[in-house]
Amino acid sequence: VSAALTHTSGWLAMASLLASLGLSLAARGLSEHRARLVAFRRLAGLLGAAAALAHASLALVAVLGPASLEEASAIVGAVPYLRHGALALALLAVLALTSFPELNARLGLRTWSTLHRGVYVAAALAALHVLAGPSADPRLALAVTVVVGLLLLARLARRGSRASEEAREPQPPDDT
Amino acid sequence: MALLVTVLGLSIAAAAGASSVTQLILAFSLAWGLVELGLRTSLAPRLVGLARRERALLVLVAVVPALDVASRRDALADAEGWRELAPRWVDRARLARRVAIAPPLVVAGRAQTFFVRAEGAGTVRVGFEGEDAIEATSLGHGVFRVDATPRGVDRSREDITVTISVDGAVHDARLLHHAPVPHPRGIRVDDQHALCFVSEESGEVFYGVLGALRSMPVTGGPAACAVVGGAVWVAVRDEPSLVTIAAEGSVAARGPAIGRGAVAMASEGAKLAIARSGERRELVVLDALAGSELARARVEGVPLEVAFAGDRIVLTTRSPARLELRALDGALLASRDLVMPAAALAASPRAIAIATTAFDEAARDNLGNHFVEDQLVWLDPRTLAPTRVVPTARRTDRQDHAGDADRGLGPAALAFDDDARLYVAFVSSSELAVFSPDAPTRGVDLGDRFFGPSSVAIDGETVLAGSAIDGALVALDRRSLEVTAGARVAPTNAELLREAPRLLQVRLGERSFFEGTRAGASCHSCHLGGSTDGEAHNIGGRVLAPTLDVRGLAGTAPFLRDGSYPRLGDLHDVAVLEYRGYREPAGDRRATLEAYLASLPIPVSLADRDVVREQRGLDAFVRAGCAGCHAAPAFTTLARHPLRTIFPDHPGDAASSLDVPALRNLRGQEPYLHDGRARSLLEVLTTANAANRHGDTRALSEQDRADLVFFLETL
Repeated sequence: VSAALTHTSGWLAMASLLASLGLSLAARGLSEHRARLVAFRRLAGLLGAAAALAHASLALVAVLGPASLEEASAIVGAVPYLRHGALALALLAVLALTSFPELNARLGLRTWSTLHRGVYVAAALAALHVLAGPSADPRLALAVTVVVGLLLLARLARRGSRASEEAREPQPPDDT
Repeated sequence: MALLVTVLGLSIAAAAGASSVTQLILAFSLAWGLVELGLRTSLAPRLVGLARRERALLVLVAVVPALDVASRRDALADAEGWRELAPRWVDRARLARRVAIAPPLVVAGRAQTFFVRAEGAGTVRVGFEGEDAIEATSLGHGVFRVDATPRGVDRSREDITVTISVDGAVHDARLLHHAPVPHPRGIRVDDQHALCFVSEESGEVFYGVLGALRSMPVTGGPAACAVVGGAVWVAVRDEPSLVTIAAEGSVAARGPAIGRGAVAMASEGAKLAIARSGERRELVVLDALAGSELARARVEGVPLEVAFAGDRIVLTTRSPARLELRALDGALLASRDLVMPAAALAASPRAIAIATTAFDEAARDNLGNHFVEDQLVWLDPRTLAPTRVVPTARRTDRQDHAGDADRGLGPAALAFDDDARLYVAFVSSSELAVFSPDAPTRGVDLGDRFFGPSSVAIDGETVLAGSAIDGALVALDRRSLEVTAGARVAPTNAELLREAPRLLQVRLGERSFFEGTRAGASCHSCHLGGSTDGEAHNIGGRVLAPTLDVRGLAGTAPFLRDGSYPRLGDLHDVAVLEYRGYREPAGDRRATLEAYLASLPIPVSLADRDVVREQRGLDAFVRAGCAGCHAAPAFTTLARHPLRTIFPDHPGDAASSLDVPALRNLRGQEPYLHDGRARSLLEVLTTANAANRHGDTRALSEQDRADLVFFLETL
């Protein structure tokens, strides 16, 4: 049961993360539904962070078992796929915390949006975690990695086109 | 701003020598923080709205740190485990198919056991290309076993189609195909100059005289032969009965039954001594001419070689490494524990000789960087006390003068003549040497004939030597050591290059496997003939680890216990990094070594079969959670786990990982587990799993554990 819960929560986190990235892309393309999509994106992001936290907690208990916290952190730090997962979780936690209006306002829109671009780093790390991890179906892991890669490329392509537009006609900074 | 963060991030990463994702993230986070800080200070007007020329300058500034970071890409890939991702993914994806078969290698003419995973299936039939389908045995939980001896396809073909029919639905799989060429081993001669030798790889026995050899196909893995009473007697690994071939005949007949698992045979007059490692490890003594069994005695270790010393029988074993002296009735007369098992044995009424890689007891405590010390040891045939020890490798010359001619590496076959001279075939070079009790050692380089002599026999005034690697033999004058005749039973390199280039790669890889490195060791030194010496070695100053059997590695990337080698060819790095590399260039050794290792099939288990008990064992296997990591059909998920999560008491550092091994060919491979802590499979499930994290074996009853061990031994 513990293993099943660990896997389910992990895949839920990954799916939510992908949904969040997909919604972000959709929000840029569908400006008339932008507000609603951004709200869903936030929900997906929060769900992803919560699921990732649950996944990590379950894995800590199920996989690392009776290891002391010090030893567990040493193992996580030493094993690449665990390290990638832990880094992704840390990033997602920061993003989740700063998604609340109070912190959002204190950070300022530009800082917040720069910070939240870290979701792509988190997604890449999560993909590496799945790809190198011991349990995931390798074909599914590859599919997830490809999707993350495509979303990242789409983001970079959009940024490239915006940069060229800005070069022609300076515009106010992006809010995402 | 992005440009500023990038340039600054790269500069910080370069200055800090970042070589991991964590360090890169930290470098860029710091860069971002600094730029943010700058934007909130008086620097802001300078940081935003950079002119094109300033941007170009920044890009130029970024080139140097970018190159510096890029130069550490290999270290980054190693630290993050990226090098193994692709090869492991390929093998994992093959095993994750809905209907999967393993191993992914078909060796023509060789008995093999395949496993198919087809969850929910009722019946599974497996058909090898060009052959009728075979019904697989269901073991439950969607696991099916197929015992087959595929005929194979054309020698030049590198893959073969296998059709898997699951309840009538047909699935195709492409498996590697290997059709071995003859590998002459174990030359035996009688006093009438009739000789025989076997080729287990190609399933043949050769007999006659050197100029007029005949061959006979013998299925089941001919392991050893002897010429007795004008007939050739063949011990076969997978068959319970000896096979006999009349010297002038062309038909093989069944001889006396001794049980499966023959590994070595010796003859003295009409007597045959056969060491076997089948359902039981035994020494069997027969009177060949009378057809009667004279003795049968249990042997503790895994038998390696057997020889007659007059009216006594000498036996060598591994696990434990031991030399035993037995009477003709099998009674143990004397035994001597060895530091490392004997790689070769010769005996006469006057002396016993063994070749080993470490004989001195002090070597047992060598926890430093283990190195191989090839040596010959003469022992008293009554007491087994050593009478002479001769290190054969000339280590200093090799280390100080790269490229110097090597001598004395990998003694793999020994034979005494009537004058107590010992003839030694050195498989790790091209050398045949003669050690006399009262004269200087002489040697002859057979390099213009073949590489890696691996068998030797005395035929009157002639010495016969053969190379399994190159499939060739020579006859030499016993006094002058001049070559007087030669024979070849396998194609030449040129023929292989023309007809089946892959087989040439395999041959060259086999040569690299046996060839000595500058440090004096070869792969064969510990992985005896592709198997194991059953001992633990300390490679590169790390912890002692039991030697792994290298057969059946195809399709199980990554490799080594910690999965640190993504491809089989990376094992070449062991020779280069730990043992100073090879003396001479020989093409792409990485590729050829990979081809050779991938061609080695998993030996068929010789354990008793009982389907009902196997099913119970597999059920216990699943209930204990073993299948979570050792999943069918390869009995591994090819995953890597932190060692401490499975064995919390492991004394190594937290970074130690364990590549999940495939649970095949387990029988006779003790000691078990990564550090050899279990002396038996039962110990793996009991005392060696004290934390109960290597499967929930505590939940199993005693009967469950017995069934599980029974099942594991059949894999």
